Amino acid sequence: MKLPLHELTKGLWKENPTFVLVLGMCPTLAVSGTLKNCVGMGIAATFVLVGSNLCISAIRNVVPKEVRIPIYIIVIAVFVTVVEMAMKAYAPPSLNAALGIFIPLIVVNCIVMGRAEAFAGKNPVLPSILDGIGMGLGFTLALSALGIVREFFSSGCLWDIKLIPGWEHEFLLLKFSPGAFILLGLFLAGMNWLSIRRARRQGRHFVPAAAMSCTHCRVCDLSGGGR
Amino acid sequence: MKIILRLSLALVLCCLAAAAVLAVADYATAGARRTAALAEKRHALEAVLPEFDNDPMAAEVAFEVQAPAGAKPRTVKFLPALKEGRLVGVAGECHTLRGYGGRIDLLVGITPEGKIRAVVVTAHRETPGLGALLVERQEKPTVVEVLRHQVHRSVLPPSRYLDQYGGPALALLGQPDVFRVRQDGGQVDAVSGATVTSRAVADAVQALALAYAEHAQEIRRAAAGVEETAP
Repeated sequence: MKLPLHELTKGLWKENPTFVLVLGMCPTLAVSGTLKNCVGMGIAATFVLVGSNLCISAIRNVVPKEVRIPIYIIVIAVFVTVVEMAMKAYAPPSLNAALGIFIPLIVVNCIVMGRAEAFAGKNPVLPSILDGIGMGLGFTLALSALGIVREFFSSGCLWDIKLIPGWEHEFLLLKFSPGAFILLGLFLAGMNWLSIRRARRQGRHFVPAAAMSCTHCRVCDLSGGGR
Repeated sequence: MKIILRLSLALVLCCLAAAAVLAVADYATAGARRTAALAEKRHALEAVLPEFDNDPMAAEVAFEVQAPAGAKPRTVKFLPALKEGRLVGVAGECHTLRGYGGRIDLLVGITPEGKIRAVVVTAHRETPGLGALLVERQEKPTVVEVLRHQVHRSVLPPSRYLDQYGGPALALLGQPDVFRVRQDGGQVDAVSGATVTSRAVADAVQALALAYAEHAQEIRRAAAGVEETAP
């Protein structure tokens, strides 16, 4: 069986959920302060993405399209709650301490709802799983890129290890959300510039995310229009 | 009309299925979750108390405290710890509902003289990187220490906010009014950018101090009772 691997790799750069699809901004800004938090959030989000994409893709043909959004939310919330219970019961305390706080935050992460609506609700199970893995990995990478810059410049640490001993004053702009937003904008600009340069070298025209055609994304179309 | 019935039925069935799944998951994991929670509590007790050899959870006493005035009463528990039959400390379990993400549970180590020894947060839902920074105890080794394998993992890592409890201004539990942030007239230094969390933890410690001040005799009697029955 041939694996549609492009469904996985698209989440890493071309359709990166943070820098291209611009989904899940709230947890991105709040959590990307330290690299450890970024990786923790990314792993937890990937797990939830794969699971929820799987469940929603499995029930996509029996769910009436007019009420699909509430039903997706119920499925995602139940999945996250079960994961949280299982972690509290069976995961070692260090893992619980590291990931436990992120799990409830993921229910409100727009990436999960966005992919459920835009992809898992309209595609078979295997591509949906790959899409979940790809989007989760892309989210983790994007978060980590932000986290490395934010943690290093605000406290001189990486992964809670002080790289520059004696750095006590914190660069508060990057420690809190406004600086994170500015940094995110700079990353977006950088990625667009690289894509434009690459497209020009290949002799084609690069279309940045805002002008991307809407045929593969139905997030605007939540009022229950035709499939 | 038929459409509404069909859609409502779909939603009701979905909710029933969700409830069933949650009930099964809750039932199946309840035992393991209880065990894990007890192990975590034991770990927290060992962090805030000196060495002990009894089971403080078996000897706990609980009191209802109403703080601040007009609020719903809260339960504060005291768990005496003994070593070789003598009281070495009491652990106070208190909580607040005013955290940024809701409930914050604390475990406070108290010396036999009624002073705070250490504060540890056992449960919280604060935002990672913001409120959570206050309540989590973490060490930051330098890169040199890591490379030389000299990282020292202590039972009670430092936390600038939590370590002020037990310091000179915030030790005696007999004075509940000092356990408020400076903006509210107390002696607790809040952390900028996390005022809600700072206030919430101070609120929990204040409830503990009020319970201790009101029931000091009963706590001592309970501890003495445990001492007598100890082998």
